[in-house]
Amino acid sequence: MINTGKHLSRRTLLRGLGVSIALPMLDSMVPAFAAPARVNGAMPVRLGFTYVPNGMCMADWTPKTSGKDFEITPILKQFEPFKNDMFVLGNMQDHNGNALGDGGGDHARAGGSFLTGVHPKKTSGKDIQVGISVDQIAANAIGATTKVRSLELSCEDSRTVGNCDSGYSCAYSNSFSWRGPSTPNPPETNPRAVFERLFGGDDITLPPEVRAKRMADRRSILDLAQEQTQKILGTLGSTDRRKMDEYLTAVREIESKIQRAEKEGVVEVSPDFERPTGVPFAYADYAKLMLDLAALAFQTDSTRVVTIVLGREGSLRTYPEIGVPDGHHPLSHHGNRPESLAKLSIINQFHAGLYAQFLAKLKATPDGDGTLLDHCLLMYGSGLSDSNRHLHENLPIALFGRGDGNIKPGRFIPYEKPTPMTNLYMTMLTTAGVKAETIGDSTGKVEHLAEV
Amino acid sequence: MRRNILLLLLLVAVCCLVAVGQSARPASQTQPVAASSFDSAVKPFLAKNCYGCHNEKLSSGSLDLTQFKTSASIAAHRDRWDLILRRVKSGEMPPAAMPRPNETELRAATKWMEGEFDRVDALAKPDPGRVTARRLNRAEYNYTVKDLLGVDFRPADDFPQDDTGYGFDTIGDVLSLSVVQMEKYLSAAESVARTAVYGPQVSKPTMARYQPAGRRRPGDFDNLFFNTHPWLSVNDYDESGLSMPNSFHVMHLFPVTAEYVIRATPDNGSRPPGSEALEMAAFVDGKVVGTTTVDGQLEGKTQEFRTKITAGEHWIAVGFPRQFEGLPLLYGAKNPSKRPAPPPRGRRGGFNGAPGGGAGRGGAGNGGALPGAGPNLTGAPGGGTPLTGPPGQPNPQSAALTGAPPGDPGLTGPPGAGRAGRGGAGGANAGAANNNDDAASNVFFTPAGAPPGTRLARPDNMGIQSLEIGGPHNPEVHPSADSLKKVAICDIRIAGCDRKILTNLARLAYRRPVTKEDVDPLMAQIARVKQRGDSPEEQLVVGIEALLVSPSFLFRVEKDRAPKSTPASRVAAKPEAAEPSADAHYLSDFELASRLSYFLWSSMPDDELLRVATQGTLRRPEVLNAQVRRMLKDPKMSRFVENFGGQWLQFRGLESHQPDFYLYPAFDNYLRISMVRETEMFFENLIREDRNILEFLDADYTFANEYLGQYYGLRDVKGPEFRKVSLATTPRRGILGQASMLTISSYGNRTSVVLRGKWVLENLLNAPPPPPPANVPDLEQTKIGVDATLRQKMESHRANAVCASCHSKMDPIGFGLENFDATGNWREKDGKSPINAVGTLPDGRTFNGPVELSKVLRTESNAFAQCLTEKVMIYALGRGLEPYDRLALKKITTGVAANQYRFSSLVLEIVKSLPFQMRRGERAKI
Repeated sequence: MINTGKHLSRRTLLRGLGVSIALPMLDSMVPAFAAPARVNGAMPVRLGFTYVPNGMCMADWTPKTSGKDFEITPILKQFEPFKNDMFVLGNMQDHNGNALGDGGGDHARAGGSFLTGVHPKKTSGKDIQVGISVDQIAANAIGATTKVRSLELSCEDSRTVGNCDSGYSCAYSNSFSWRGPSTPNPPETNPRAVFERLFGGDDITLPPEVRAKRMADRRSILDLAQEQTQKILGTLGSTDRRKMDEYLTAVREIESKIQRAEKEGVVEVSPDFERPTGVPFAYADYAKLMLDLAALAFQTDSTRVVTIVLGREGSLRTYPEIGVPDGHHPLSHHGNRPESLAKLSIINQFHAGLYAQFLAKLKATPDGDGTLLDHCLLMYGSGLSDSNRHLHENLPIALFGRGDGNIKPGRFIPYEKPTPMTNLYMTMLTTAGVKAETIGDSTGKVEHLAEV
Repeated sequence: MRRNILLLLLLVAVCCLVAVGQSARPASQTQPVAASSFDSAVKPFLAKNCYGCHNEKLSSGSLDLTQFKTSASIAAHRDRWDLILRRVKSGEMPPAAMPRPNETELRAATKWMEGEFDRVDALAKPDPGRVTARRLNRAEYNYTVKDLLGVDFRPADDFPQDDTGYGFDTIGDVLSLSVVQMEKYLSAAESVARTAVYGPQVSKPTMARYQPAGRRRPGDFDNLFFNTHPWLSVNDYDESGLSMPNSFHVMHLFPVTAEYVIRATPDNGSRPPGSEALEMAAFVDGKVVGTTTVDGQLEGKTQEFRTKITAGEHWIAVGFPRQFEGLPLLYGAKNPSKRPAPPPRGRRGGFNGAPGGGAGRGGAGNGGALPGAGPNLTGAPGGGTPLTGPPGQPNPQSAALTGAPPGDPGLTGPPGAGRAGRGGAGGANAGAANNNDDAASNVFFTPAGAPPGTRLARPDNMGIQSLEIGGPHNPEVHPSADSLKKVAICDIRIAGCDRKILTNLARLAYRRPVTKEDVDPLMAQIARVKQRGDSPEEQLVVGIEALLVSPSFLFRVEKDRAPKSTPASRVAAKPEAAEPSADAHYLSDFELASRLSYFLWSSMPDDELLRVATQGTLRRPEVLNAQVRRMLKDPKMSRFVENFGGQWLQFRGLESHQPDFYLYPAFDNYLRISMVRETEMFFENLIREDRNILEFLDADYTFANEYLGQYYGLRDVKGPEFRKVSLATTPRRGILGQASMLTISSYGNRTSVVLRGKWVLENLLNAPPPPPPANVPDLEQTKIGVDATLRQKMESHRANAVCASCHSKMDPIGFGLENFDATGNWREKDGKSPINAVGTLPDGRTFNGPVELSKVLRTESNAFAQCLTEKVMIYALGRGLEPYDRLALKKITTGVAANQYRFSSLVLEIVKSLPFQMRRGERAKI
């Protein structure tokens, strides 16, 4: 009896081949999970950070009118149903994406600095250094209450060969999320792995007693691993010890996850349940599946911090299915040619449209007294604006959701002065109840979100 | 006065050097030349030739040379001076537009610089550097669990991608351990342990689906096999079907030995009317495992083949054997069809896929009303005797019968309409193709010897649109023979066996002798599981899991030791010029063994290597030598080729590189697989036969199967097996003639002289160009080949002196290779313009085409040896190279050169070198 779920072996040649998978009925899982507990009487705020690469066709993004009746430009048209749930923010900048004396490498820098606000150290190997990213600051504070601290997803795999951007280690372009200055937090690119991370692997269909035994085994061997590590630590130099610390941190975190799962009990799922088994061939299917999983993660309160990368910075992906066979990155060096700009805009609209489906799902999910979208703060945008010139200023940024209910969306706010993205992150963190002094190059919080 | 004497002495010294050749090899002299100095030889040279741009005000290229006032500045800014020396010697600087420096002065200056470098290097305290503790990367994890436990399902393929540094994924500093990674290690440990003890963990059967990168568009005039694959003809082709363009090949990993279903769906095509049924075959590893027949219209007629396949990665293919047999007689192929021809259709496009106007086209003996139509239609000359009459002219009458529109120029127009096959007189007349009608496929075939204008339905109109592999069914779930051998060294029902097994595995997994302290905790796990009533097998599983998540397994840690402590046996061979720095110490024999095995085999030391380390003899020169040589002969060297080679030569990137399907229809999955295999076999052969590494630059042989061989123009290569072939009759030499390199250094839709030049400079000559300046405008790609050649477009690089400083190195190399298109196929033209493959290097050397280019590169033997040495060092050590490694590198390249550049000498020199044998301690910081 052949299961219609499809399976892909990763080793086989992904790009040149077609792989299609049956999109599982994820929605059927939602009722199995309890609603999240309120925080101080209010529904917890969920934070999201979504990245699109290679800037945008800014003429088709930036509204010409500000305030409540802002112009719905071609790209923003994809978000029109959410006009009253969103802010478009103008004059946001990622100053640390600039060279600042380091020469080439804007794509790696955009990747490393966007969520951290720190200028990445230019190195192709040793001593990579940037800063902690906003999603991890949030996860440190609120991650312990959910099964998964934070979720990082990407719809594009990392490069497999060669050097990355201009003398920068590939670590900078592979991860937007950083747990610490030297600890990248790479995203998951395989939907199956995401699913397993959220809901369990093959275990999920095992009888509960067996699952309990397995969890106990895991905890025990991880305990042993920690003991073994402690013994070794004394014999190590400081650089080596830092590596071991990464290991210990990871081990401890998994242990606490297991402990929590043991306390909460396991979710019963029928053995016939279909789950994603691989990477869909068509990009739209792939992105949609990843976004669906992100939505599911929020819906089941498996996590409250999600980072989604719709394309790696510097992405070379082609989009023949929407009539753009050119590589995205070369295309973004449009040289102000109308045809190139038009094609770039098509890609931008495509991404926005995919994201809009995600928003629709959240808006359709009841959460407390409102919808899930009401209680989210989701940033969508790029670390480059005009990618032709690798500009890190005037970035295309949108913010969706109402957070703790105190902000009043539905406006385009072009700030007078260039405003660091990290100021927006400060606002997002505060809204989610996360205490933070600063992040990266933040100078305060963004203004006008709470006033009309 | 004194200065004049100095200059005179200098002149004398220089005259002696004039006889030395023009090559750009760095001299390896270590004695300082007393006669010249920084002030006398270098500063004046710089002032005359360089200060004009590289001064405080202008600071061209961010370089102000006036600030280097003394020779001490050289040691202080070594990297800059390395670059300055290189660029001056190669002639890049001063830029071509500026006057050339005086040769004598140039040589004096460069010689002084080199001498100074050597002097400074020799004085520095040898520093072996240190490598940060590093976790196993994906490849290493897969191979280690395979060697340790006989488990082969490549669990690490699911791990997150490893971050790379300096181009390799073995760099300790860069390999980080996120929570996700640890979760993966944990779940992998569980699957691996269970698979080792119980056999493959299989869940329900699933189906994997593969599709070719693109589908032929009906109107593509060019996609007739005989045009896109010119070595084919209906009478000379691969009858097995494997090397035909319409076969489809994938590499698939099978989780367990079982029955699998291979489902192949043909695409929207059909055989010419009147043909016999078509056979389709499925192949596993090149052998037929099943055949079926399809008839008439092919689309949607999915064929199923059921067969038993063993666990592991296999080559699966589906194709059409003897596909040009059973065709109507007109095609002039073997074993013509005995079927009667179907009656003519009244309307055009009558047959799916066949040109509707097939009726009435073609002037074969029977009037050719329809391919194979026979005599009954048209009253052709010799009518009545079906298929043997002389070819006749297109018969307007038959056209009328079939309802072709009057005056359809296709019927009476010039031959070659629709680009009929190569055999035909039709030839390639692109313009006439536009005359074709609105049939499903506008591609026609003209048999050899047929009259011009003969157009038959194409005989190659079938292909595969998808391939599915379903299973496993009836799996054989038991531990593999390898697992049994490695795990079950005794019977676990006997007391004490579990301890024995775990001790053995721990020793191998931790890569060192183990004590009670190591094994007792593992036994405690077993006791815990036993206590809750689980079986001995289950106990063992948990014990093995614990082993596989231990930091001693996952990390290769090298411990700090007391400085200059000697291990059990010392290397006597190479006395250092100076004592290593105070914090340097030798690695333990076990750490050395681990370095060796992960370097050469991407895996843990085997039993013998571990044994030698335990005996304390590994460092004895004769023992170390023998071990390395043993390892070089082991088949596991293929992993070095796969992992080092795949990243150095970048063919790993071919996994996800996708050339435009419509521009390069010959680039299908089989070609991709084959070109990777070619490069792997070339490298494996070089290692196995211990050949000269310079053969990467100019070897006149390679390895090919039929598909690749024919692609390269070698008409004698038949059969799907790979074999060594001579390239002497082709313009391909060394790695630069291999399709893998030529493809990975191109874009998906065109070649790039810059990318290729950069590839060569970076990967072969150790001279990576700096990144481009910001704001470089995009190349207007659509016009290349149309209104200007790529060369002409690149002229703007030459016009600007700053651009030229780098591009004068890169572009010529790329031009030399321009005859190879973006998938490595030879071409004479780029669009409409003939290829001009002449390149001129900054030092004046020119070459025309790839063979001459390879000869020029061959003269750069030192640069190549140094390049390969550096890359292998980075990969083997797991860190980038620093200035203090220079001396060691120099020793290695000298040693390699002295041994005819044999690959084994490269490895041995590296293994014996200071950075490989020793490491620098780190004062423990609290």
